[in-house]
Amino acid sequence: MSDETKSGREVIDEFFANSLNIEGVDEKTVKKLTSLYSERKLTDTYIQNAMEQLLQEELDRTGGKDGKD
Amino acid sequence: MAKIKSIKISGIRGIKDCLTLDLKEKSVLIFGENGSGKSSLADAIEWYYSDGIKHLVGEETGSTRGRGALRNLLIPDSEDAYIDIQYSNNKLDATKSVDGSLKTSISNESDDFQEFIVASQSENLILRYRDLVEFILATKAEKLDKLQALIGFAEVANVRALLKKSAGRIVSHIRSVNYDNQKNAKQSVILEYLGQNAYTSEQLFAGANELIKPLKIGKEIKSLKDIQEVLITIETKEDTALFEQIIFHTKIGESLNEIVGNIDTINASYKSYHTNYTNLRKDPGKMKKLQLLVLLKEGRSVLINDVIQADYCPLCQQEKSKIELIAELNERIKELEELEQEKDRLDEQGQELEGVLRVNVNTVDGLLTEKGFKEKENSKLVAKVQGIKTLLEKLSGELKKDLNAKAPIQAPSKIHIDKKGISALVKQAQDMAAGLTESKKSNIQFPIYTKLSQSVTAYDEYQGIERELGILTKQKVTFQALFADFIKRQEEALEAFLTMFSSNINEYYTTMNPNEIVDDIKLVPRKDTKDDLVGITIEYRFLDKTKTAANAYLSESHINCLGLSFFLASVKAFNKENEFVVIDDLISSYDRSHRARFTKLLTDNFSEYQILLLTHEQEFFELVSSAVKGKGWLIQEIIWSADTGAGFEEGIVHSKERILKKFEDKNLDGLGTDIRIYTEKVMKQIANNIEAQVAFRYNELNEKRMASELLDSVHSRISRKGTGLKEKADIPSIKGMPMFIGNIGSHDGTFNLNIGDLEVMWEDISKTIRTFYCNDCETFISVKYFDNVGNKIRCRCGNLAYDWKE
Repeated sequence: MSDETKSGREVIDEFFANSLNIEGVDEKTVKKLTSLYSERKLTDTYIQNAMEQLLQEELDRTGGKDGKD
Repeated sequence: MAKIKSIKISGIRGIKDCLTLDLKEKSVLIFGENGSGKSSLADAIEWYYSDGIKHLVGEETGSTRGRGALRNLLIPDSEDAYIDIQYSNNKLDATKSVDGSLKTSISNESDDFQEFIVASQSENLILRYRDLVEFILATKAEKLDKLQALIGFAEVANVRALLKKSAGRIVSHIRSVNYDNQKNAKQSVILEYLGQNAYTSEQLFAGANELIKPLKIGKEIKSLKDIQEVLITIETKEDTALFEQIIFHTKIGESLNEIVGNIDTINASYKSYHTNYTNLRKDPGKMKKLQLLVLLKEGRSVLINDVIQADYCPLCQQEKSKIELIAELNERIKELEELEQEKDRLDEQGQELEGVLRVNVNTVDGLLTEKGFKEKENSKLVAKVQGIKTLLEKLSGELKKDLNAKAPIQAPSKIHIDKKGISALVKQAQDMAAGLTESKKSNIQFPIYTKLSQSVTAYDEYQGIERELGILTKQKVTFQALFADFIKRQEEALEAFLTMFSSNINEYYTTMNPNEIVDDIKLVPRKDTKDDLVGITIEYRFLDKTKTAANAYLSESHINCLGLSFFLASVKAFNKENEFVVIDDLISSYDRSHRARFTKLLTDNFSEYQILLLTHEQEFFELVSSAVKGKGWLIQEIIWSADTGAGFEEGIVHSKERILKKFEDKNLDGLGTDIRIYTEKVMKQIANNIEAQVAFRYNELNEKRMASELLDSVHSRISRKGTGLKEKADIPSIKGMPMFIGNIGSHDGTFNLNIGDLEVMWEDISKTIRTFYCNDCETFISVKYFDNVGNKIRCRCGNLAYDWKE
């Protein structure tokens, strides 16, 4: 493509490079996604598993759904 | 970028013996009659790059991707079919072979070559007629898919879809689980036992302090740890069984209360689903038509892939323009796709309700694991709870019923979840728990212990739900924000690309169609009602009005021009590894003026590219031959014979160059044969130009006419028609040369001549040929340029002329 236009890869790379600066995003969620992208594992299954894992880690850290403070 | 130095092909499609195309990085114009095998060249290149041949895939099924039809039928199984390409960058040189068992191999295993081939996948290297209108007539969604794939935006579309799906999944999960309902159920327990709600620990501690007041233990609760200490202090072991009963009934009340909180949503959703389901079933024919969608799409693919080449409908066999047929199919496909979308929306609605039902079934299942249900006295209660589960599952079952099923799904009134009945069970369980709690009035500690214990458990669970909801909400908000940002980036990038791309398409189209009523051609992104990018349409100005349907206003020739402009714009935009393109016989549908402008477009705007232009049309061949003269193009003719398959007829200029090079190198090897072949070619051209008569022969034998026969006929013709020409040409002086004596069987014979003899003979032959050839306009004299006034046969410019009797 000509120099003025961006390739698909460039669009995605720039998006992930700037994703933490997007207003209102959760840092941990974004970092998980960026890490999946850099590992070339950005698929629906990996995202779903990563989000469940993040949920569990956060619940464990804050006392669990049924845990005690 | 790589250009091709040479291509060698053997055993592929119509090419049986080795065919060599020595390009030296130059463009080439190749002429070949239909069936001569010129498309075998394009097929071989396509297979080399893509490992398959798109138009052959239909000829065989399975995983060979056309490889079975790739090998020439006459080559033995033991022989490999291959294509060898040498590039301007020799690191990329490779031979790709397919053996008798259809196993392929490639000689170049370097990383450079692998990267080159992978990067080449997204390049446009070959254009055939069948591909020409594919993009133009594709639906808007297909256009978007094709373009996104071409510009590497397929991955962008994929990331966008993942972000959207992830956000949607979290939203849907939050809705299905109905966290607010769960929180309310916990608060209901807290209110029941603590006498007040506790949304914060302060509220819990205040309620707990109030609750333990009658115990007068002189301790103020300020933390959860304090509550645990109080509970240990007042716990009475002998009341464990009673306490478990209370927990059991509390659990029943709480779980069923959660279900009660979802019943209105379930009933309303099912009612709405039922209405939409019934509407879609109202016209049974409509839904049945949906089954035609696959067939219509397949039919369109058959037409676009040129499986049927003539203009007729492959089903009814009636004559019909293929372009019109494709346009009609697109209309019907569009209509059915809208219907399919309605069905998809119903499916989506069903899946969402299914998710809610699953959560409630899980709640019931969790409840049924309670030990208390094993007690005989609770058997009726078990049956009632099981009944709730059965109803929930029945609802799920209804959602799975097909739209075309004989019987429709049950009406909402017949499968209604009885909220009152379940609420009564909740009340009954709560009353039971409260009654048991107060059953030991003599023991003041027991009811307080029970109430405090149940309150703190419910509060913990409430907090857990709140935390989970908080984390999921954060994830949801994050995905939604990422998605919004990503859309913006994607659209900006796509817009920038489309602007550049549209400008090139417009330029090429208007070059081929100057001063016409169509201009300002643009590719425009289209969105649906949810603001989702769903396609790309072609917009153009027609008589100063904006139009989108190409087939509605443009002739076939104009649609083809649009397709060609798209291909050429794609070449400029995407081809970064290969600096060549193959254009295979696509101009049948163009009129003469379009052909001339197309040729000019190629030579003016694509002079930096190496073009392999294949045609079966003599007129177009001559047009391009003349246009590329002096521009470094090679000109070749491809012929087919039963013995060797497709092969090149070497061009006259090329043969002469080879002879001169051999003289320069004093290389005698095959020089006599080269001179004979060259003379045959020239004499064939001269005989044709002056209408010298030769005996009739079938096409394949025409190619084998010998120089002696041609020399005789030319001599005879100029003896009768010309006056000075016969003496000047002096054909008898060359007729007796050794290479012209013999018969067809001696064509490849060898001659024992030294270089001196050959030089003399070559000079005589050249002198004869020069008699007929004008160096100024580079044409042979021809009756085409006959001067009626002066009765002269001339070359094109008229500088070479001889008297010629009418």
